Amino acid sequence: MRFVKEILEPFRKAVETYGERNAFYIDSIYYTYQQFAERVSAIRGVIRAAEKSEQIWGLALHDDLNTYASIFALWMEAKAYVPLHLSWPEERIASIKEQVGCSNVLDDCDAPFTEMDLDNWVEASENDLAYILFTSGSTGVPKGVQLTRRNITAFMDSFWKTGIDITPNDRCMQVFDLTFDVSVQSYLVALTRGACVYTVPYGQVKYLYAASLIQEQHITFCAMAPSMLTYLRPYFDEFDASSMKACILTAEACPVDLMEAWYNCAKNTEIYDFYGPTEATIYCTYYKLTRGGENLSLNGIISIGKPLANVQAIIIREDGSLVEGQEKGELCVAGNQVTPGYWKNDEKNASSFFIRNEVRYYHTGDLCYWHESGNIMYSGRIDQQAKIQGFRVELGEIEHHARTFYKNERRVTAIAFQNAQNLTEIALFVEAQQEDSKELIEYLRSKMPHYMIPTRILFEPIFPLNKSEKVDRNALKTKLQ
Amino acid sequence: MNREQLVEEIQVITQEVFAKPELVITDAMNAADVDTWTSLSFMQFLTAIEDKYGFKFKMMELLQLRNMGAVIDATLKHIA
Repeated sequence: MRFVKEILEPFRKAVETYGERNAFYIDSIYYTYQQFAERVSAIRGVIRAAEKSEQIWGLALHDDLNTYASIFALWMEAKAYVPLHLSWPEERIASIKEQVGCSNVLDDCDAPFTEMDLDNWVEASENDLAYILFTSGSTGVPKGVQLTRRNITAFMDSFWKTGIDITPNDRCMQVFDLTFDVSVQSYLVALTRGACVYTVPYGQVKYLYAASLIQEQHITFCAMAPSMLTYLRPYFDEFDASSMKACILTAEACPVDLMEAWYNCAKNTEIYDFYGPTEATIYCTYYKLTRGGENLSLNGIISIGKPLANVQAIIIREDGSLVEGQEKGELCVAGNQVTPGYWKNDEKNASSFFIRNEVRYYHTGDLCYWHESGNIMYSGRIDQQAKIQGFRVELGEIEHHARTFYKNERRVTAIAFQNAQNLTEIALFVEAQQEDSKELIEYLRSKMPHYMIPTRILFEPIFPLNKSEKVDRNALKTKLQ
Repeated sequence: MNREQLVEEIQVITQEVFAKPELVITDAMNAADVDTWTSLSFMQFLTAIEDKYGFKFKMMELLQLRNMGAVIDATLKHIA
């Protein structure tokens, strides 16, 4: 398996075979494979002409053809990209650029097209990076997950082995920010098979725009976060998703009752629950649901299923030994999909990866157990991490910035909770008398992306403590009910 | 109720739900213009309108709500 064979060659073949067919539908405009390839070719010229020949390029994210073309152009030039979301605070973008050391940024690159250039790919090793995704870091500094060409290649091979098939006639929806790795699956499976990618523009309410694409553009395949369906659930009896042949639910725990309700709209759809941390390249396990049958679940959450073809999974105790029977422990994964590590972060790499029997594993931080059927049951997080609309959020990062705002003079605790609609929100407790929180929120907005900003700020004169003299998070959580 | 009166009332709801006490709404305003206009807050916004005026948006209406003007017009149709 090689990146060129799994990604670049199928893409070039799609351009050659389906040049006049649509590759993208962006903000109500169709673009053909020919048009897309022209943009890739033009941007390759810009990359080659750059004064500084850096391996990693920043990619300013727009919902436009040039942004997607930049990714393929960079890969053909043996470069990697690090996505920079323009809605992020400037300080965060600067921190990422500084960490990576990239001065080149492709920002809606509209260089004129002169000639088609989809050949002569610059030679690269499978160990070379394809992209770096920065996620929330508990120390207040975002951490970069490096994904190599080998990682992506192994993922694509795993994906096709699940049996999901995409054809040139498919209409595939891409709802995720390009800072989030499910976006990579969403555009790659379509563009390597000659299908069309339908995107959700930035600045739109995602669940509504996605619903209109499903109904009006007759989407046949998509990956979504379950929370998007939760928003739409009150309207399921009016919603027609019968065009959809396969739907992946991912990025969050998947409630079984939501899926059963979704089956009534998605009448012709095979539904899958895919699970995976960014560190193991998009997905590492999956569970195919059965319509009208028994679906494995724990506390109302669907099983995360079995490992993908290129993933090895074990569940371990705190002491590193393997669990027995249905004993709970931490899920750890290995294989060619697992990242070589965090960008220039030896400390985090030392704590997040380990060698067992000469195999390198990643600690997912997810508490799981083996069901007797060989499927993995998800039971929650071991650490203080939450998923907000699919985005991974370290509660420690929110606390870090809040403490800094208060000059480390107040205790703060961030807590993730389920609201009345069963959606995850974040509350921030501050140990102080009630006061105006406007300045605090403005400060947090200057430091973190919008999805990390707490939706509730609560002041408590004295924090309750547990028997270990630590802040009693459970007691605080009861105040949210 | 005429459109002008409705705009005034929806402005109050907007300011409260989107936590922007000084926000002045316009017909063209959408999620790109208000950083707290998220999927969650927009759902809460629609629920607040539905509760205040005693109706429920239909799915097909919902799909057309791409900006504030569309929300105001759709609401006006229900309460006219």
